[in-house]
Amino acid sequence: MNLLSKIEKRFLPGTYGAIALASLLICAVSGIPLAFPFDVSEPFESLKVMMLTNPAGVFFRNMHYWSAQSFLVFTILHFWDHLYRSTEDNVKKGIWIRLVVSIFFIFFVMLSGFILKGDADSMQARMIFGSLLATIPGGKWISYSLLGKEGDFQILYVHHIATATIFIFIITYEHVRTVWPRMKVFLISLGMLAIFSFLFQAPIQTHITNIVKGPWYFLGLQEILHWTSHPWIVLICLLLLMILLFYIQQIPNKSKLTTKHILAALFIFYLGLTITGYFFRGENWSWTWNVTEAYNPFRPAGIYPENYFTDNTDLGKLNEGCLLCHEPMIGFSKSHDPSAIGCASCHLGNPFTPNKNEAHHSMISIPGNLNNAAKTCGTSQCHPDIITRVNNSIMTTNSGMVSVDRFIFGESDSLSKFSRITEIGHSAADEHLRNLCAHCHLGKNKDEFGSIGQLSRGGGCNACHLNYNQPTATELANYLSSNEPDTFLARNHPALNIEVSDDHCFGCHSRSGRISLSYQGWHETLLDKSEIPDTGTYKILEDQRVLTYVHEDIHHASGMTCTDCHISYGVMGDGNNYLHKEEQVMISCEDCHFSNTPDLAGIDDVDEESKKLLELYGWDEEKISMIIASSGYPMINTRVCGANTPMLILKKTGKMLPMKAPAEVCLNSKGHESLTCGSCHTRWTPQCLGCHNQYDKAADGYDLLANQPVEGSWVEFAGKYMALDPVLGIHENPSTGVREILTFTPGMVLSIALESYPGRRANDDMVFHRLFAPIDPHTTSAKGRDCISCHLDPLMTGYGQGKIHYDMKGSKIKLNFIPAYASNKHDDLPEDAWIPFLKDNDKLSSTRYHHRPFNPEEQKNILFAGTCLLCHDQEEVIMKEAIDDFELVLSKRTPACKEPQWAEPHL
Amino acid sequence: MNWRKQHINRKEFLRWAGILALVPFLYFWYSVIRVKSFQDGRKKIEIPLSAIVEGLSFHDQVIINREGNTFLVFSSKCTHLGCNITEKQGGKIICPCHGSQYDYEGNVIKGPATKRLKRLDFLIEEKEKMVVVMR
Repeated sequence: MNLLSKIEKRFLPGTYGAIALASLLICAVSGIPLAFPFDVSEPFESLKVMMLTNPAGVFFRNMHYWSAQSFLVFTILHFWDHLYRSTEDNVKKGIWIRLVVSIFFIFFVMLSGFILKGDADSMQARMIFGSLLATIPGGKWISYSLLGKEGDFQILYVHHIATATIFIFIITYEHVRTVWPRMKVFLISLGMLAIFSFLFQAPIQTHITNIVKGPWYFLGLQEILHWTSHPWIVLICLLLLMILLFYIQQIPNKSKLTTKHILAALFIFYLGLTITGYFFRGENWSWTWNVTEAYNPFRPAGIYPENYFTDNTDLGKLNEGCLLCHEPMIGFSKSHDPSAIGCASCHLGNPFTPNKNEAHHSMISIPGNLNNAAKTCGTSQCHPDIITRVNNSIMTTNSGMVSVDRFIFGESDSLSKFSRITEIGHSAADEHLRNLCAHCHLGKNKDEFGSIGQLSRGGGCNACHLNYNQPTATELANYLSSNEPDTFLARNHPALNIEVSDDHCFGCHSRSGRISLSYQGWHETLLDKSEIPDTGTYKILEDQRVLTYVHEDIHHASGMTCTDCHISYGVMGDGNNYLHKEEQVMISCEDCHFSNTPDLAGIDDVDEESKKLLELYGWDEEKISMIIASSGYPMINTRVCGANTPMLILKKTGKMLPMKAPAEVCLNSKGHESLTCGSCHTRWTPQCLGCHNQYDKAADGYDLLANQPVEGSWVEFAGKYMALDPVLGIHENPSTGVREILTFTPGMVLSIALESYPGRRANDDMVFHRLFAPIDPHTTSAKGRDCISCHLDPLMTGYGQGKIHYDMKGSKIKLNFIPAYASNKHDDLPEDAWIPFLKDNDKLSSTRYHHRPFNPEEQKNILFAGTCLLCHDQEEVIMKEAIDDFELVLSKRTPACKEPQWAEPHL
Repeated sequence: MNWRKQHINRKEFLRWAGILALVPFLYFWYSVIRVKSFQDGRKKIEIPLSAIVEGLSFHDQVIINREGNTFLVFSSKCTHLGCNITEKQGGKIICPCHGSQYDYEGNVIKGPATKRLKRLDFLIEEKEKMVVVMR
């Protein structure tokens, strides 16, 4: 006795055929009550309403579904069993042909049921079925006959409930001479299916996804279709298969067995393809090895009348069950209100069930993290382009940070190799990043509820767009302190909107370059809070860092926030990968402080994102004229109107600020053409000394990328923090040939005890770097630097703090530099210096290529002008004239004017 | 014809009559479908210009690639088996059903599809700020 027969005899209440017949009857009868709530003009919507308001309807739908699956499975087993036992010859030839044809009708009635649920998978299945038929001659008419016109379910519904069903019943009756199964088989089948239907939900697609799969029995076919560019071949094969089945009765016994073996092999092969399609195919039918992500058909139904809505009007526009418990809920921005987008479009889960556990299954509590953004914020109906851009944004990749760190550890030969922080490994450099830096990127998940604050890092979309108002924050505090959080129902929801405040930027940007601190006028100290002096202005941050007040940026004093300058394409990126952060900045000082009218644009000329932002800010009047930044992107908060002063609108307050043109001295000064705005107007720069990095094997470390404690950690020792005038240096753009003077800070002046890291490589030892980094510290002042602060300041020139001694005794002035700090043992330069006095730094000296300190010739030029200031007050007319034309002033020198001891400089 | 000599019985007569009846039945079926399908005609889809973002955008069964004032309009039906394409990934238009890939000009990058996405006729209504696509 074969295995199937054994199973049939021992475990089943009747034959496979009898159970299939019982299932068919149950399926047909359970379909009748479904016709009442089902609306053929809105199938999906009507099913959603039914699933949330009608427990009996849900039960019958489940029954209809599971009995159909049972009918299909037991019919296949019945076929297999007969072919195995060679009892197919007992069936008359005429009936056999109709039984073979009924296979088409069985699959058609199953597929039409799948399509009639009207969800996204169903719609795609309908398109595929129609297109597949259309590949054969006359197929369009067959397709139209079976499916009706596009978007209309009427014909399909008629075929589902009548044509195909009647045909199947006629064939069944002809085959077994009854449509009534045995009472015992019927009752046991009914009981089993009723239990199954009470426990498990019939599937329906609950949210938008790029995983499109047909019904399980056609996944093998879907896999075959993936591999063939000629789908009609598949139809021909299926037709041949049916012809073969028909003729199997007439094949001689010897060949018949071989034919059956071939059929069995094909069936098993198809079964393999079905399993492949079910478990190993994901988005866009690409391979996935995450088997657990496959749809689980056994989802709890939870059919209890008290769980359901009693009135359809409570459902909301999108008919989501979430509101059964979560209404009222307030606090949303207009675009994200549940009445517009529901709950599941952000939080996923299953919105079409009143059962709490099922509704919360696979739910995302904190949408917007970049690991879920493609399924939440970034779906095709919402913000798909932005997700791609943010994923490539420098704030997500941290490319520059990773590549420079690897370079200084000697693990990379380039300062500018594109890298992603999420892809770093466990080398000494990467572990250094993991221990000290790797949480300041947008890809870091926000795992806890709460607003974005000083201690926040990352969070994807939330990092910038999440806003808690006071009631929401208070309610969250109550929830977190609640003894019964599972039953706590929040009524306030944080908003996701365009109100990006400086606080959103602060968490990450108060570190490293410390721009958020400097912009507000604060400078970080190494003080412990117990060491704060009685005099002076200090502040203690939430992470206990102690700040002292220096001076705020003029833009901050005017009320400007970060996003008044940093436009959306600069912050979220424009889709391109950039190597360093300054490459992604889409604005410059000159975009607002211009002397010649820049390119302007009206509302119709700008991109859709800018238009949307104009609308959200309420600035979408027809007649506006805004500045196109040098990057090519519009600055939506600028207004230029004829001869009137150009104005900047502050995004936070709506206040209008005049955009002042640069002073005359900025525009027409011979000898100062290379100065950038920042090189004169930067008031101070945070700088540090004596940084040393050591790996401590015994330290309680933390892997910031993996978000878990680790044993051992890199530890950074800082010598001294100072708020000083910036150091100036040169950037030579190789592609444009433009040479400009920028502000620098000791970005990577540090020693690294490489030998302290476990498993260090041979020859690893202490390494020392003196790399200065270009920086815009955001400490702009209205007044630029004066002559003395540049030409008599050794720090600015790159020598470090100290004093330049001018020996005036001879006919020429002898210059000598006396450093304030002792020389570093590694390179014999003063601790804070960038270059030796009047010499070149012959090593790589910046964290960027094409950036360097002043060379000896340039140093001489600077110091030469400085010697004039030893006798002449910088306010004298002659010195004012020198700014305009230094060569002209030099020609007027008197015999009393002494020159430095080196040769006449070339200016 | 001598019907008696043919020995046709009632059952056979009915069978042949049934088969012959299929001809007018199929003809009428065809006629009904033809009339109905003519009613469908070409569809006009109106898309506001403001909804057509720079780059690629997906609309009701239409994909538009916009570069400034230049538009490329395609049907979003995959040419393999008609699946509706609603997403792009990594600079490609990808069919979610069987994985066919197209570039932003509708050309096939990877099968199973072999034909490029169907270009659709369209009309730009400057005054109405609308693009009317004929599908």
